[in-house]
Amino acid sequence: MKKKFPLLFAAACLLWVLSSWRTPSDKKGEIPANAFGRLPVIANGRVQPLDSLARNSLLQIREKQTVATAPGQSGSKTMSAAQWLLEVFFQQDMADTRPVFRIVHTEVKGLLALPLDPVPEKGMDGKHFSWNQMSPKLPDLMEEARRAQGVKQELHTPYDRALLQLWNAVSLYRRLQCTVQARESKNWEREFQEFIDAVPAGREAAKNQQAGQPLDPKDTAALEKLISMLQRASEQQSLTPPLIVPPTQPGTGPEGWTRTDEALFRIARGDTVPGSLRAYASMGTAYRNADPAAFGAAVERYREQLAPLGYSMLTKGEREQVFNHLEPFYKATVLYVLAGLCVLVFTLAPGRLEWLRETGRLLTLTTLLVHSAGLVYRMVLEGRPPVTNLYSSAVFIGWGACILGLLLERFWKNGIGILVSSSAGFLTLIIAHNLAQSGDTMEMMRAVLDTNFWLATHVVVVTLGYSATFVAGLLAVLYVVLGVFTKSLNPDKAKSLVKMVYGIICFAALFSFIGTVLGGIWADQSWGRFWGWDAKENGALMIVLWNALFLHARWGGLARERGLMALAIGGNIITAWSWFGVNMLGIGLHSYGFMSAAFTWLMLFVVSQLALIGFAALPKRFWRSNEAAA
Amino acid sequence: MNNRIWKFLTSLKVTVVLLLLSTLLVFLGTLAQVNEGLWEAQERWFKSFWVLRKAGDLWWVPPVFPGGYTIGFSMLINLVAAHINRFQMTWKKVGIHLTHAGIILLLVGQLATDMLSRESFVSFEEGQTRAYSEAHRSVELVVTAEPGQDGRERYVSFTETALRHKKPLQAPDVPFELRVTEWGENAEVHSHSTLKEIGTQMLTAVATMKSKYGSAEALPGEAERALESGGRTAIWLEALKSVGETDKDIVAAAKRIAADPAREGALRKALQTRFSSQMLEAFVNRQPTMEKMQAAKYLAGELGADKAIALDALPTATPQGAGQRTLLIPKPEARGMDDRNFPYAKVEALEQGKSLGTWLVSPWLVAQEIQAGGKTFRVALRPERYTQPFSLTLVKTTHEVYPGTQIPKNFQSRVLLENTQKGEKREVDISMNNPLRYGGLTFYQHQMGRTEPTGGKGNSQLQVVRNPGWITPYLGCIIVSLGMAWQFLYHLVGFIAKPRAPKNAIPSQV
Repeated sequence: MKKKFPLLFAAACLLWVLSSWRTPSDKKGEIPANAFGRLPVIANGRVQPLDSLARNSLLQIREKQTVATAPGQSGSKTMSAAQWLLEVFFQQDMADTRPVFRIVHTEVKGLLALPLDPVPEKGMDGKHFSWNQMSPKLPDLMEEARRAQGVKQELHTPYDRALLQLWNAVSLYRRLQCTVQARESKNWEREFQEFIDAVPAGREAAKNQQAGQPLDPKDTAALEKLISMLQRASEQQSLTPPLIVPPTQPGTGPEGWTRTDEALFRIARGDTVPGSLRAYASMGTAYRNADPAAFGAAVERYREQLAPLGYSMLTKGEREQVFNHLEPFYKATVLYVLAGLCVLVFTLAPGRLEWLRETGRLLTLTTLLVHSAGLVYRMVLEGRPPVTNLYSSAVFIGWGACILGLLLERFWKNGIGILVSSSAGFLTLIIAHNLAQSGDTMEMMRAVLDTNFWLATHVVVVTLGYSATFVAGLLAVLYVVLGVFTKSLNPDKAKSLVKMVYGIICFAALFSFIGTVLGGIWADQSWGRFWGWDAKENGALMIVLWNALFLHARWGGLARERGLMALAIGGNIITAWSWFGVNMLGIGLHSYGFMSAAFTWLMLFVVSQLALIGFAALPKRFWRSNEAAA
Repeated sequence: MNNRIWKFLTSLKVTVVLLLLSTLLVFLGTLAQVNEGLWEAQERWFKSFWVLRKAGDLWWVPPVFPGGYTIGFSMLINLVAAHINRFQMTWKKVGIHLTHAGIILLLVGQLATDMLSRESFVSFEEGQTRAYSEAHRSVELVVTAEPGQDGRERYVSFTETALRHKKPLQAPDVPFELRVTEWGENAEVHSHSTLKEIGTQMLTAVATMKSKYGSAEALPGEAERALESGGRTAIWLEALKSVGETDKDIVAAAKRIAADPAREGALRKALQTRFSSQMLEAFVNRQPTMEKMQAAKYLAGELGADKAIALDALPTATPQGAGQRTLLIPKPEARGMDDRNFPYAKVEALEQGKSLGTWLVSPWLVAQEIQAGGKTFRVALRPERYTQPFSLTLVKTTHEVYPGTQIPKNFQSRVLLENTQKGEKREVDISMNNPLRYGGLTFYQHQMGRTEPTGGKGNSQLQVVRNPGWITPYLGCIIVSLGMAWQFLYHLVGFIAKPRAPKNAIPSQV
């Protein structure tokens, strides 16, 4: 059993992941939310399924991809993102009652006159609030948000940030609500039909009016109908909702898509009525009538209209939906924890529990497979190299670290490599998860970044350099923790750890150097200077210099075991600075905005690493492992 | 003794210390960018020998720190010395030698770039042709003669340095000498007529507005009218708050205060200040041209600070030329990355020792005439120009964004490149990540816009870089990469082979 267990367990885990690798289906007798979620839409400048739009929006509004109808209550039901979006699109009075706005800052709650503590009898958990609960105080929120927008980013207080985050959520919510129909609309399908019917007479009336001819009262009524609808449309326009109207000509790319409001203006000008608008209008009626069959038929009709536009439009939506349901990075996180636990238990009795190390190893391999699949899937969806933004850099750093850890394990077979793989994988995926909360992680690339060649070379190589420096730092942390706090760091293990760190730093120096210089060449290609002392460039240079320092200190015999380990831990600080810190300065070409929440974490990380360096500097007699040896 | 110096120069300890110092320098120099701006911080920390603490620095700036040049040169010396000292031609060392040779090349190349490279810009509209580029930070004084018989204009130019040091400016074809009587690094200039035009409008508008709040009786009525707009209501609420009134019903509050002689004056004053500053701001934003906007901004600043402006008796800058009709306001030198300085000079023209008068020159002003020797010359201060033996004509600009967003997708300028000397005439596209390298210069897509927000001609700004050392980082990178890869593979092969073969089985000479 012990022989076969590792393989069986890893296989079971793989099966668990694979079981959700399929197009999600809908339950019979329910509104087919998943079929709806597969429909394509343009948001953030790219084609995506409504499912992604719903999930990313919810992440920004609620910090979760699902909605709890009564959070913290016993009778609470869970709505999927697509189900929530259906309601936001088609039944706004209902959507307005859902507690989806996450507000935790007490002063923001105070501003909106919301209860600070949970009120169970009203079904409030004190953290999530509905549109209706906030709406009386919206003018105050707007006024405060305007004030905060006028303040320089680096001077924002936590209150300002919470305020702006909520304001962003409110704008997003309003934007989504007018994607298909105006907020005030009660029966959109009928209103839309009346509008279409009024177009010929209304246009006639407008023409006569301009020519100064008398108007037929019937025509005047039609003209008024047109004007009132278009007025509503121009209000919608100012909110810039997602684009749901596909082009009518096949062969036009994403540029041909328009918003509902613009389509309404075109109809008023005499253009043909886009089938998509009719289809969404019927979906709305079917949804409000709770008629799954009619809803499904409308979705199906719309898909048939989309078909001539090109195969890729539909399949891209479907593929991304499958990816959303698969959640490979979430599952990889869970598996990394399992693998790490296996190895931790193994270290209690290395000889006897060898089968656990084997389980951990196979589990890590499985996880690497899942992690890689997620990475590749994203690349295919985006048509881009693996690293395009901070989120994907986190995913990629974890992936690189996992491979390095497994390589180490291949040579040393003592569980340390697995521990490195699983902890690095776990931590980076957690970081990625938190980064994803700022919205779409597959957003489009600005013109200057829009080059797959440099993204594939410079960015990938530099990121692998980060990976390696972190792995070396992690090994050094292990050395210090094992040495100071446990008795298990025997001279053999110590020696192997030092060797591992050295090898990995050689690798890190190579990659960070080549990556940095490639970045310089890219800069030379796009801005005309090889080196501009830009903050992110400097960060990468610091990693190169630090790794060079480590190598020279070792070659010159200037630092011994503990000194080298302290240097390697210092590498953690420098890499974290280069990866996150420089973005927080809000300067330079690479700044992606000030991330204040991350700042606290970065500081905590730096302090922890400094503490570890302090431990490394402790005289040997304070090391517990030393007692054991003596 | 010599031996000790040599030992020091080649020591690894020095290398490690230099690496540590450079890491620190890069870190501090990056932090400094937040307060000092990219350009300033770069000059102070990286392109210098020493960084000295000065007044106004933040707490973390050390009293003295070696600058980029000091560390760079020290590294170079250390590297070269160590190389000479330890050079051994063995396979084991090839990687290390290559790596270090590449780094030497990179250091030298960067130094060369620092000294030899030159950045400038070409800005043009669709249809315009340029055979020169303009500097971003330096100006030149140019004296243009009347067109000669061949119809070509001839001009002489004097550098900014000559102006700053007030050197006498003379040229063979110019019958007069120019003397700089005053030089300033930065100034605003406003034409009297624009100031008068806008100033009159502003003063009238503000006066009308203030008269609305001229008496206590007017307050309730004005409060009622303010209810029509959210913006005006907000201003009322603010003003009420400033006199200690927190009632959200502004009409009731206005009535109450109007009846209170102790407070009504303060409220009227508060309303007048607030409404006039809002009005002035709106005035500035409404101006159709850059020049008018600048003038309005200046006036708004003065009026907002309650300064009286005598629009009919504005001071003149110089007795001749445009200076007669210009208000000159010297300003401190701007040091931020995005700030631009507009220097000015007052120059006196002397024909055979006799003064012809004094003129004001600034990049804001057009060329001005000077009559001398029976001919007309024109003087102007303009961005320093670098002429090229070829011309570029902007044919078409393309500016695309992703659908439904403002995220730029592509900037592209199609230009006609014409070189009459070589008989070349062809069209090329210049876009992000896709520069044009020609005649020792590289043209990069920099900025793009339209003369009017919708429609109108497209304009484009290209960045022009002359960098004779541009190839060094490419070579350096290749050499270091080869060296590092060699070293890495050499060790990796050794490491993997180790468990199976004895150590000395790895051939040290092949």
